[in-house]
Amino acid sequence: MITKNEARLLILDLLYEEIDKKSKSELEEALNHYPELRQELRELQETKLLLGNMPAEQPEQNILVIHPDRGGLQQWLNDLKKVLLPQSTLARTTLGLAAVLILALMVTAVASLHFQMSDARWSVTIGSEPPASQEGVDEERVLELLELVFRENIEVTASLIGESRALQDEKLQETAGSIYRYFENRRQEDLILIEEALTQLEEENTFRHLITNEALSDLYFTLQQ
Amino acid sequence: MDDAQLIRQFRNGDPESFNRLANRWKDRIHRFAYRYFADRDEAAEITQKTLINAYQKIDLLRDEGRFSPWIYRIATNLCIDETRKNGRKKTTPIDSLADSEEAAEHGTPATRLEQRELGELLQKALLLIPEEQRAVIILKEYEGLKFREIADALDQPLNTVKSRMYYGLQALRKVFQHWNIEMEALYDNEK
Repeated sequence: MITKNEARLLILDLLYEEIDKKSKSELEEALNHYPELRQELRELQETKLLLGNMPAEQPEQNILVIHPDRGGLQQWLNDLKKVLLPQSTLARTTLGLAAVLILALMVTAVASLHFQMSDARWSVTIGSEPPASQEGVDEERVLELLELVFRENIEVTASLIGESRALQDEKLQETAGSIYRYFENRRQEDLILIEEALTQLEEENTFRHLITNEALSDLYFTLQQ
Repeated sequence: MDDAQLIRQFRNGDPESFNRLANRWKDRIHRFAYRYFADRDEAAEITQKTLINAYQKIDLLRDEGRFSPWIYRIATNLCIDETRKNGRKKTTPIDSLADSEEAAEHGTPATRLEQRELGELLQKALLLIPEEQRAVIILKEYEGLKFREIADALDQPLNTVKSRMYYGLQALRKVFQHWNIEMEALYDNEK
């Protein structure tokens, strides 16, 4: 015998008259065996009957119905496509590839694309060919350039150092001259002071000598008398 | 001329065939969408979108004889998308319960409901059940699709569809009981 849940599904079939004879007899057997299912059937029948009382809603008149314009340009284009395009997949694929190739060639021509390949790389450029200076340089050239830059740097640095040194020497000489003049002035002043002191000492000694001579002369004359 | 013949004619370059197909289906789609949302504007919008989608994707329909579940699938998906996109239900369960209880208790007695009032209550009851169950009930009860066609339209297993139908009907019954709508209402109307 069928289960309760299977019977419930058959109840729906019975309710909407979609049940076959075999299923109907199975359902009747289940309804006899499960009285509660008979009650469910009655309830569902009532509900269904009640639902049948809903009036149909009439749509408003302003519903837009599509009016496809298939006779116009779109139809003409579709017909043209049918005539021009091949029907088989292989032919369509081939045509597609050819179209892509032609498109690529046209783009290449219009955009002046240049493809360049070397041992290590390849490049694509748009427009006129790049100037030679923009081409890649090899390692030797890079080393030469580096050496040139290095030399130039050395020369510039040496020049700067020379200028700095000359400036420094000039300032040193100027400073030394100032010191020399200072000490020379001081020496001259000292010599003047020494000379003045010696002159004064000489004058003092001469005066003392005169006094001494005078005193000795007086003493001599005194002793002679 | 049936739907399949119209589709074939349309595919062969007869633009008027789709117009005839659209005119044939617009009322049904609108009725489905209205029962789903209980909103005329929403239903009109869904109808338009469904027909536009059908027009744009009709070349993807392999079997012209299955146009019915196919177009209902478009409509159902649009309804579900619209509900999820807006993140809302047209009527919240609490509000609907309150309004409907008021109508049932303070208006005319439930046992003597006018046909129109009963219809409105049924429409509100539909809004209270889950979207998936609602779609199945509408397609089955009002659009008359077979369970197999509904399964095709919703892209779900047959038993899932029946299960949704079963639980949807049970849920509606509970709502009716909550609103005190009794079967006498139906019997009165039938008199």
